Amino acid sequence: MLSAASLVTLVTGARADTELSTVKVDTPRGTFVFTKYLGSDDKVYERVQDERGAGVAIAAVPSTPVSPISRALEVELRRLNARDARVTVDISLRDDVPRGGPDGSAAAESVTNQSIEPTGTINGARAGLGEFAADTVRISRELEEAQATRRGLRLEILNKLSSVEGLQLSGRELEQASDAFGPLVRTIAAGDVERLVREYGDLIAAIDLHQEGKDDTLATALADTSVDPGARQLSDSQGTGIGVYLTESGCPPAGFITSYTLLAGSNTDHSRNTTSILRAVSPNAWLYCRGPADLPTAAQLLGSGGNPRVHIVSRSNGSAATEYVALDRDWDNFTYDNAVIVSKSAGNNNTSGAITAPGNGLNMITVGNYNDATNTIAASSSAADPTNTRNRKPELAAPGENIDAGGFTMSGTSMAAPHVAGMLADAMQAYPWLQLRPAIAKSHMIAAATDVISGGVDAVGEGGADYLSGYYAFHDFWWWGGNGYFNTAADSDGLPGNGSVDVLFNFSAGQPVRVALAWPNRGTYTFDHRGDPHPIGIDLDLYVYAPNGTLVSGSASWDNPYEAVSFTAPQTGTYRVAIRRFANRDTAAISDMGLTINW
Amino acid sequence: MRPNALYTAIALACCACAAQSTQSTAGSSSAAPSAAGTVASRCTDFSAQTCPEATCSTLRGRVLDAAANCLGLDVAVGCEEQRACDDALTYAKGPDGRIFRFSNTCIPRDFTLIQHAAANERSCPAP
Repeated sequence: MLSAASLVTLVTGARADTELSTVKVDTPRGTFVFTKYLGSDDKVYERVQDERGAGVAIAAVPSTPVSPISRALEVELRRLNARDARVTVDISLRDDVPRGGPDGSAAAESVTNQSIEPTGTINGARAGLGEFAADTVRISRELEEAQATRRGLRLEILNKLSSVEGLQLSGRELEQASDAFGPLVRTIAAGDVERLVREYGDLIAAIDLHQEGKDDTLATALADTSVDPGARQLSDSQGTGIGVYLTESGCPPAGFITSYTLLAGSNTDHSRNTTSILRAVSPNAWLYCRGPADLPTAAQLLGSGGNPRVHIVSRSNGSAATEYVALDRDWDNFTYDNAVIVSKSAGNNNTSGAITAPGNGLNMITVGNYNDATNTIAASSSAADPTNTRNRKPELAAPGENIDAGGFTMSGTSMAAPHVAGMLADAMQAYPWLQLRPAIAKSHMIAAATDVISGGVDAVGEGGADYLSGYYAFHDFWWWGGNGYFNTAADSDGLPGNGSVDVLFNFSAGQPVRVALAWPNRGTYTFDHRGDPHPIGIDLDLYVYAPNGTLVSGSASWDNPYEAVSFTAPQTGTYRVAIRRFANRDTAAISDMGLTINW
Repeated sequence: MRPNALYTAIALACCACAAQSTQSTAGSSSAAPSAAGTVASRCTDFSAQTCPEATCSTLRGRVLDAAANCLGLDVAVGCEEQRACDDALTYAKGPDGRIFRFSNTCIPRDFTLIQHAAANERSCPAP
């Protein structure tokens, strides 16, 4: 759901001091209002006011104190009130391995013309499949090196923690824990929780009360998303060569569907339904399933038995969370570190109710559920934004009402998420540059979510997912480098000195256009700063200017990891799409931006 | 954003789903501290009204008025261990014969799953 006025889309020309977006932030010392506005000099400024409307220096706005120990665990420890009582906890490790990249060598981008053939750009230079393929080899090598470093770091941390009562790990357990991405699950004495934080705070990011994973036992939808006819009739859009990892309470047995590897988990009706939806949307993607819900291990991520690497994770499972929690952190880090995109069910707690974790994650594509018979968002689809990070949820919507698949008819956001995961797999085969570049994968899906779904932007997100809308007539731009690379790109884009990364694009008058921008964020930064007024590490904004210099549309949220604008081109000519880095709070984060122009 | 040729609508046959649900409704099997202290007991031993939220989850459902196609108030109907649940709407009949809609697949062990086509049910008008 969209926080009150946290995002404003401009549809008229800029005036002096035009207000762009406003967000209210609650702190221990009252509520503060942050406003972005466009000055008469075409630069964006911020203004902070207290509850009385008085101006306040940004540095004077206090953070809310946060503890590595989750609220649920604190409550449980107080209730137990006995140091020797046993409690099972999730221990999230500080296993960040910085991703780097060049801070120089951007190439200038000339005007891009419309073409029915999809095209792409890397760091300002036009790139075809060959350039993207060569670059993909580089990404793969760097990810593998980072994975090896991270494994070594986890081993080091785990060895140090092994001296704590209850945390001792056998050689095999050590091997498994170092290969995992998620938290270490252990049962320890209640009294050891605070000691862990006190003595090993530099190794531990969060300690949460463990939740046991549960392990118990379409056709109109495909038409509505233009998967059929569409992807199912296009030989390059079948998910060939793409690994999709599903995780929820259980998994169908081996052999239940084709091109499928059962990693773990017992049979459930629910998983039969969700895997069958994914199989219908993406006939040739290789599916992996592991239950109960968990991230893949490092070995599983790379594929097994000669089958494809995991590029997409689909999770139709979670527990309601009104805040950004440690699970969101872990999943955000996983996507950031491994260049994987996640399609996550929003949950079914009503449009005013909580998203299910880790759906509040910044890097997730969180999917709401709409009824494809009426093109209306389901009243049950969750849409409340997390109260501490305020990033907007859900991102988009997909069919989820009465989906008959796998022998069962089911409803909910569980059924919506695999639609999006399957569409991502199809698109990744058709446009391989979406692989290992989750920033473009996300901007591409948001730009293509052009189906009009009633229910309001707060509940629906940017729109209904549509495969063909993102198959023809689009251009994907990708920028990648170290943290300082943004400035290099801004200075070498042909329009230096204005502080923005600019793209020049020709549109015809009357043409409907959607532009989406997405960038991955480090979960570690957001979790560690979740008490700050703005916990997002990198804040980018998006503006589109008409040939005469008038601002046509803009999206300048405070706490979102993406921006999107839709407009009808008012005149024929060359438009300027400008990306501004409003805040660079997390200087350890890379500059990784995906921009998709869809017309 | 797409060629007109592919706008052609195709009426797709909707599969009838006669298969009956076989999903287990097994409840908790793990031990959780009781409200009184550290003596182990199961979350499922607590009533919905005494369910300790710190360690267990209160299961809540909304009574379905099938005739009016609307949902009644949110009612606490069970207690079980905290866990992540699958995000599918789930319909189940309680021991008293009433049908409830749950927001996920976690339902009380003494409830029976039923097949029911979701119809985007809204809240029933106040009596």
